[in-house]
Amino acid sequence: MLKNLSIEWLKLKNYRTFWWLIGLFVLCLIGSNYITYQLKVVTSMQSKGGLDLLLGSPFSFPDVWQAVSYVSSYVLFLPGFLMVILITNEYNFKTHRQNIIDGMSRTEFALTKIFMAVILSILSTIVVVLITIVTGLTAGSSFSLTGSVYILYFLLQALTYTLGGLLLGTLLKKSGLSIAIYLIYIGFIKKLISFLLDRYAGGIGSYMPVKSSDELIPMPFFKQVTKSLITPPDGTWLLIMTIFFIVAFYWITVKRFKTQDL
Amino acid sequence: MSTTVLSIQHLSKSYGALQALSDVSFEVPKGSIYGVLGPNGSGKTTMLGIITDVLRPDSGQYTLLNSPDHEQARKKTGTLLETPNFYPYLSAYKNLEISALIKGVSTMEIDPVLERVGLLARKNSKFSTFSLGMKQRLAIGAALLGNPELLILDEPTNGLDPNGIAEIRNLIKGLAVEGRTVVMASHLLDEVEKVCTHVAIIKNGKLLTSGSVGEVLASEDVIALRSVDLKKLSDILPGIAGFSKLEWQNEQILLHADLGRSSLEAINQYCFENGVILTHLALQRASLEARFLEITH
Repeated sequence: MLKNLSIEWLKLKNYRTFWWLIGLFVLCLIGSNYITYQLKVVTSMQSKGGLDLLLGSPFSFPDVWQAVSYVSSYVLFLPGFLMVILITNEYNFKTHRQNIIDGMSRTEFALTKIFMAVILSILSTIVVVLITIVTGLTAGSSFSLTGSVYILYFLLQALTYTLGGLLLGTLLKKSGLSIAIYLIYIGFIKKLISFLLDRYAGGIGSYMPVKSSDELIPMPFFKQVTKSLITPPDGTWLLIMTIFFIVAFYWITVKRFKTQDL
Repeated sequence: MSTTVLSIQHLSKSYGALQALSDVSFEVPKGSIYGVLGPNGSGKTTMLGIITDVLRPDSGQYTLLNSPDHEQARKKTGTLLETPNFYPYLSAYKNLEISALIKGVSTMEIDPVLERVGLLARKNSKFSTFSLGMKQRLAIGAALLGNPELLILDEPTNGLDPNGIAEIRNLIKGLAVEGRTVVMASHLLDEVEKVCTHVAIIKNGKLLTSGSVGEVLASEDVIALRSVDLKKLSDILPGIAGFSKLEWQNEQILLHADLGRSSLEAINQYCFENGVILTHLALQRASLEARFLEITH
């Protein structure tokens, strides 16, 4: 696998789109957290502390783990998007064929791409951990690992997006179509189906693919208010469904790549 | 050590209602230049795609380099399938670096290979800046990496200018001299005739015939004979060396025979010695073109 990863590195090292997207992603992670943090600081100041009771202190330890994970998760569509590009590029250039022709096995090829998705997710998580620590300390609180389970949830969510993007690209092969469906699903269809299921199928909308991982990290702001207004979905089931979808994405990707005409 | 490098057994493959390949079997002997000849869309690429694991057959098997491990066998096989497949944003050298790494070949081999296909001067140029001919040559270069025992080349002279075509043909012949086996798909009869030692002819997914080029393409010569006594002539002709059959045609007899085992003089002498004086003796050798059309129609 190490050899296959170094092959992947050769493909990426000089691929400018990859580095641009990685750069944008990190910038968006930092930017979105910075803006939200500043917004909180400004709101607090303007209300002269009056809103603090409602807002809580989401950017101080231990709540900062949840707050930064939550805000950062909105940018997770980018690494998933990147995976769609990386796999459909291979189909576009027909280099997936060349890799197989040169002697790579189909399983190896699929597993290498899955490994890339995992690495991308872990790197995203590491960046989020760093942002969390910096933010928590900047907010003047002292470091604590309490609540850091949200980092694990963030990792699961990242895996859902990257492996989901990979699966979609593997199924559709065409880059334009895959990218369009990926973005439409994330931005619109996911919410629509979830809404319809909640309404007509007894509230199971939260357990949809990708949606279940989204809801692992509940909104950290106005905790007191939301708690009394909405009954949150069952956390254990969210976790089970998220892991189920990750395994399913992995399994279908390998299976599909092994059996399709390349 | 077996002398068969590639063995194909009963391969079939369909795309929906289209039967792209139907029960094709043949064997490629070591050291041969094996042409797979057929019109466009006849199933050549489908067949080569299956033996390189790019396509999945509906049924049938193949053995590559007598190895049960297809991945290992592919690493020792150089393949150019359909079109050159490379990363457009990488240079020629970096593209071959990826191929070399997969094949487990030293990167020291890249420069000599680029030299051999005339691209060394452009080794640091991006693949996307290459002309069609250069792309094709790079693909042949990639196929040559690691001194493969077997080369599978699908329309290798596609997109090349006449010079390039001649170069590639010489290269292929040179490879065979080095003891390598080449399987080459082509829709150009002329190309197969000039380069190959063996040929398999495929049409509509079916294998029509296979064997050595001599056997398949130039198997028979046709000789037109006339004499006053055609009846007697027809009686004695089966005694000629290399005789296969005769046909009556108007005022003459068409003799099908292998002139490799006989000659026009010998036929003339034979007839004279057997009491028949020929008034006409002419070789009407079926052209390769006609032979090919005869097989494929």
